[in-house]
Amino acid sequence: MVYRAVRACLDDASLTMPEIEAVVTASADLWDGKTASNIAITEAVGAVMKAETRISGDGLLALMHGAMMILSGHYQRVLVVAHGKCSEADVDAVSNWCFDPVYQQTLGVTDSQALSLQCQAIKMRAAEMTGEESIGALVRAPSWSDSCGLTVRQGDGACAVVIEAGDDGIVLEGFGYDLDAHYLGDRDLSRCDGLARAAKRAYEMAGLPDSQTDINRHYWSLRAALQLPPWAEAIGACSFIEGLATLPNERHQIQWSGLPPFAAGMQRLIAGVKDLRESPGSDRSLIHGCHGPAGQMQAVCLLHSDGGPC
Amino acid sequence: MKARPVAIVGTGQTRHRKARPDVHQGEMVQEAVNLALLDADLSWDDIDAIVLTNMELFEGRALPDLWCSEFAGGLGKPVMKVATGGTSGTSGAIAGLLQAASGLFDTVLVVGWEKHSEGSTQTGMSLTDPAWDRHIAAGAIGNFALSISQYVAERGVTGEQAAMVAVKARRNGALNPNAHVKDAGITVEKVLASPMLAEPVHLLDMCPQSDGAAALIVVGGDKTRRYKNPAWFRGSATRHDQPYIGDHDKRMVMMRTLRSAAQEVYRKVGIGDPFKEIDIAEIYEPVSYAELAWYEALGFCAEGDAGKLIESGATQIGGDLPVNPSGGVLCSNPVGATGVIRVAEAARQLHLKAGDYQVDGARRALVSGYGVYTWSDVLFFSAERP
Repeated sequence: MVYRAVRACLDDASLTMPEIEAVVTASADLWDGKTASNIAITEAVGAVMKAETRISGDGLLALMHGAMMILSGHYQRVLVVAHGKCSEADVDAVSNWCFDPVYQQTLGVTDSQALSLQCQAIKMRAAEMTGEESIGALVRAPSWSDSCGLTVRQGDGACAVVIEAGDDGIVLEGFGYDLDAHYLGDRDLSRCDGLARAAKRAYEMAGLPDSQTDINRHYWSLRAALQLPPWAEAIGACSFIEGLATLPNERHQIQWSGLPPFAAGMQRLIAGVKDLRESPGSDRSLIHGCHGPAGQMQAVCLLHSDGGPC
Repeated sequence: MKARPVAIVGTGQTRHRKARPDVHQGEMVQEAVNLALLDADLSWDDIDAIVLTNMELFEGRALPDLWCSEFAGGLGKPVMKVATGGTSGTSGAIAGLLQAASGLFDTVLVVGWEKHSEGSTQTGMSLTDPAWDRHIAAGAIGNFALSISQYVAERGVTGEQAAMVAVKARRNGALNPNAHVKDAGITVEKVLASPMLAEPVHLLDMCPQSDGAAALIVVGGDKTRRYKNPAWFRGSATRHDQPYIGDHDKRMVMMRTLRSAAQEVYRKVGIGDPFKEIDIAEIYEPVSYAELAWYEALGFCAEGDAGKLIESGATQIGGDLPVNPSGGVLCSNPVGATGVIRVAEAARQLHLKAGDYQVDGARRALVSGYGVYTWSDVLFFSAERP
């Protein structure tokens, strides 16, 4: 699975494996059921007798680390590979093991339950702000009114991209990441402060104001549609109430067909790159990635294209 | 693009032990972080980004960084976890150094930890590739014994020479208050009389499993100016290899990843004769025989001369090239932290803060990391600003 993604990426970039200086991978051991889950993919990512490091988390973090390797001046071209194969894991059990063992794990909390809590918090906030108890009356899509609303399926998948130093083509002009509080009770789940901080760092790095005026498309890797209004609010795209009424739309895209955990952010990045390639003029997109219960870890990348070939 | 100079200016370690039932993982992490901040005269607010290293299968916690990072001061900060088996700590240190060198962060905290007492390391080490290795994997010792047997046959090293490595380590460890295993009175005879685990590896040839954490403070830019003896990062190299046991002939004999990584680093920093030009080395030796093989791969001696090198005393504290004056992995081994400890101990030597095991005149230090039986990291630090 990983090799197919790497092969497709290298073919797309017209590169061969020897032309890659270093590899950064992203995966999570327990979701793969393996110790050091990059062991099984050393050859698939071409890391034999080469520098490889593995980020345990969403692939956008691996991309950012690869970018920092290049910015450090120590590397010029890095292959970034992310994979998730949760069909081989008991996701509920594994996600329970990622809660702290003192309080939350002992309650048996799972990732899905954390998501439900978050969606409930979002609904309550909407009701408080509008006085409307039925979220179905507020939101754009009627199907959002049940439980979590529409959820994005989790699946198996791998993604790969090559990044290199340079100013041409599609430029990664800013990125930021942030880890929010672990204890669900320590966070206002109806908001996303971690995403706001990650986006702020990305905007500052790109030299953009904390506004959305120059961003044409957003590629979200969220688990439930109800997360979108507060998360769009966190990046400064719109108010929470506006988001409830108008999202998703063409500027804010959700991958309904499914996302592989830990490769989700990279999948959204590749979708963004493909659209930018077809864009005739100057264009800018925001890519979102996250992992952890109720989006504890947040990541934002800003891509810019001047319309030139890539 | 010219690399931005960065340096390690603070380190902190727990007292590594067989078990730390008095603290949970997060509290153990916090101990090391607080000591590193104290050493660097910084507070949590001064940290711009954090790199964590840990092997989650050893404790059975999934993504433990999500929980433990708050104890490292990570709430609301950019945090990443690096996990590459035994090399996690050195890979995490490299990641932190490169992130600071990128110019995006001035001050980066690197924290590694492992709490083996809360899990089953044997199980964790056996959950390798499910198609091939998992059926024959049974932890580290048998795997080492295969490679060591070939190394002994090829190079002619003896059990006594390997035992000298174990003696050096445990006597050095006796000088290190953080070391888990320490034995000032250990002898070659005692090592050879210890139980045989897998021919030719005796119990005292092996590293322990420890509970412990270690932290580094990396700074770049103007932040380096206030420090008297920074450990300047001069270069690093990483080599991974395919890990299938049967596909590697002469794995330990040649250790091609370590050899290649060391050669790249020596080329980067202009080292022609490692034995003469390096003042101290902190290398990842999970078993006594490995240190002998690494002497050869790192170019400390000619191939086949590692036994003579340990016999000469040159790698003792006070010798020409002290290796693992801290006691090394044979004395402390909380896997996710072990590579961080190697870097921390090398930095402490350049900071002139190594106490009873300080190497006189230490100005150039080499670190190696080892993991997944074939993976290697090499890092080089100096007292001179690049």
